[in-house]
Amino acid sequence: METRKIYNRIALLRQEREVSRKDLSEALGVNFQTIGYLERGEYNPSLDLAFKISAFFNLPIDFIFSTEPFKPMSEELLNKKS
Amino acid sequence: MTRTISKPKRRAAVLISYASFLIVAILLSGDVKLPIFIHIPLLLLSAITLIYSLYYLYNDTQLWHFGNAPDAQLDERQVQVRNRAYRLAYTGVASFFILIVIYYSFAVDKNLWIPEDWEEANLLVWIVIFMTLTLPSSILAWMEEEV
Repeated sequence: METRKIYNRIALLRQEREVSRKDLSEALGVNFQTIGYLERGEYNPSLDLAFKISAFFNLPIDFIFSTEPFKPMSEELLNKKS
Repeated sequence: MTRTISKPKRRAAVLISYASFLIVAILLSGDVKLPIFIHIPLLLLSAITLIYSLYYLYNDTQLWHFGNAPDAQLDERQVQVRNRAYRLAYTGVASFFILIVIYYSFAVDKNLWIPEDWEEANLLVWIVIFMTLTLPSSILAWMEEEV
């Protein structure tokens, strides 16, 4: 079975909120290396883990995960303004 | 599993552990006759290398824990990775057994060498025991990517 690549904004959100991989991993109950795999898109999280990540950042799940590559945040902000 | 040890180093440790195991097993089996002043130092050196490489591999990378921990102590990705390593290890050991059976069936007909007692069979037995015990963790060490 071929799995689709799931893109995510975990690295961006983690940096923006100044959360270390270790802190995020402890909050989610996963190994800190798994955060690295998620950020690089080398591992697709389960639905359960995706909901935990969504709850941690207090953001909708489709804001964090997508099957399409995300546009740069600046471009999205510009599109919202115009 | 810690990633402080790079993938090339982990792979080198896997190769060294298997090579040193083979040397120890062959020297202990008595199939190879070397002068005593070569045999003993070579055996000791290989045994020390084997123990150190296994310690390095399993303790420093925590692969022993990763390869043998219950599901509850691992996260969902680690369980997937470990299960994949088990599947590959099972395939490896099963293939080894199949090759032995195929060889045995041919060897009977063609009058090839077949171990007839423990003295002759123990090298093969130790290889199977070593493979069974170390293969899942060795596969993890070989395949896990860098951070």
